[in-house]
Amino acid sequence: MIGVLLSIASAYVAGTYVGALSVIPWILSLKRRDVGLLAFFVYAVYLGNSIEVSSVYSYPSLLVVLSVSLALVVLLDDILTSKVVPERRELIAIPFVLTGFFLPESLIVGEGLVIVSRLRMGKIASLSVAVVVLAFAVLWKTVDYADSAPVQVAVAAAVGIFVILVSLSWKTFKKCSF
Amino acid sequence: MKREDFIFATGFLLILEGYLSANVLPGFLGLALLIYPLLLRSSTEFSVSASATFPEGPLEVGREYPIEIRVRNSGSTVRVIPRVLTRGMDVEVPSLMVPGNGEKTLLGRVRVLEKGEVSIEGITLTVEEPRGVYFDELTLEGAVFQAYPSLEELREEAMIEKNLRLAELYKAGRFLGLESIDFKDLREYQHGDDFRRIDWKASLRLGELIVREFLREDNVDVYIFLDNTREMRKGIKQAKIDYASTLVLQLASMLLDKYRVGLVVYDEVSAKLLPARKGQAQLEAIRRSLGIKHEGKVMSLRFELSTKIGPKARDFIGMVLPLMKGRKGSSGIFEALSLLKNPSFIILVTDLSNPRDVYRAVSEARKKHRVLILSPNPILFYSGKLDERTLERLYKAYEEREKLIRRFNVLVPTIDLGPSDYLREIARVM
Repeated sequence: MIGVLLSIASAYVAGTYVGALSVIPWILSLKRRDVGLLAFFVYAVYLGNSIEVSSVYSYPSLLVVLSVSLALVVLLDDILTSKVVPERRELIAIPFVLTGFFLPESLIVGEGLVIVSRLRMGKIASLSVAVVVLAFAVLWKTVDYADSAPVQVAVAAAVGIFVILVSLSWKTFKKCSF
Repeated sequence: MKREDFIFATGFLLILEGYLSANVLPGFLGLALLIYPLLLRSSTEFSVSASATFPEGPLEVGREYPIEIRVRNSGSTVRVIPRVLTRGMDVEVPSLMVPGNGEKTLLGRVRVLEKGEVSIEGITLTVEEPRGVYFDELTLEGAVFQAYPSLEELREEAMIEKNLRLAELYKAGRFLGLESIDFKDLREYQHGDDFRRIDWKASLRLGELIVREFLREDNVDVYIFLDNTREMRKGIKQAKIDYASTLVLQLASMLLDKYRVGLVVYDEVSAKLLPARKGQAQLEAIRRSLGIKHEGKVMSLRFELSTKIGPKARDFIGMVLPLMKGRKGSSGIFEALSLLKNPSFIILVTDLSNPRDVYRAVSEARKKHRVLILSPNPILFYSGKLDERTLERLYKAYEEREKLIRRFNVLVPTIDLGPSDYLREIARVM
């Protein structure tokens, strides 16, 4: 539920109402998790196409990218858990989220709080997130120029591949099917 | 497709979308989705141990026993889904969420289905993290039990045996023919004898149950009544009327050696009589009277004896419907019975789909005639599509029918038949 609220708020911050559509995959996931996941895919692709961000190296753009990305992660988590009522410790984030409609930084703090309350950041996960931040920090001067969006995305893809490799080689779990 | 793979695929598609549209946001959304499984893996730890407690001692068929699976979880929060492999047992254990560093007990029930050696061959516990992306499996050892028949099952079997013995006696012709009032002999009571025949004075004198036997008139007429109402003719692949016709023919061929056999075919409004005679020519005449076609329709499967229509409503329907007008509620079966002038032995072949009329008619008929009902069970003849709803409907109909057969058995011997019953009979005769 809180994922829907975050999606609406982050989309509002980005200047669109597409976030309201996040309620559809969430409702579908209550009926059946996999249908919700499929609807989430459609929503994510549509959301990505609705907001235009040319570079991650400007403060307002970074706020938009972070708030929308974190909201999408919380929404995915909501869809997979198929839970209606949020846990008590997640409610701490609510004031931050509500303030986030006017102050985007507060929204990001709220989203961070929700994720931390739900998922445990172990050493490997923290290290991988640090690698992502570091990669973009190191390449700041190299990839921050006009029309560099595809290059920045390529960096994201490279870091993504690294993250997947870490994921797959770290713990061996049996995976649930659709 | 695995759920984790789907998340990865969505992430990469978003990155591709960002690259092609020169938009940073989809690329970062994709990256966030790729990081999510890493966070999930970081939060997931499967460390579950479990032990099962089974019911003790010999079990009874049909009874339910508790089963307990104690789960200790020293990892992260998980959902435990049990899967039990059994032989001769039905086990239901619900799934349960076990919090991290917690202990919970899954309470289930075991129902014994058959007697002899039954077992829980193994319990597989699927331990799934709450988001349903990863899982682990845990196997527990099963147990072997001895199951004994329950009292209810014994009663049921006794009833079946009694029915079968009755059918055997009818087949042997011991019940055919009317008994006269001339006393023949005294003999020991045997299982299945009518209580009204017990000679209490002789029983007291001899210290055991004694019954009176009367001389039998073997030259009595046997009339086979065949129900040709619409419900009997309904059926997708095979109708009850097809089965009943074969049964009638087979019965007639068996009885014609000793008795004069007649046939009465009745439907909703009328009845046709073939007077009782002996010999092969009669068998041929019966065969020709049985050329009845079935209708390719689904059976209604209703067996309620009581009607929800009140007497006033019935009078009204009697006045309005031309079919009923002037007939005062009498249907083909009443007309069929009115065609018999002398006391006879009636074998009524009907599916009891119109139980009210049949019950009334048989109640009247047994005052003058001896009656035996052979009833093809419509549930066993159902040949439509089987889905969950139909099965539920069939089960309800089966229960309703059981009650009905019990009610009729109080009145006259009623034998329930299935589609394969006559094949055995025919094989024996041949």
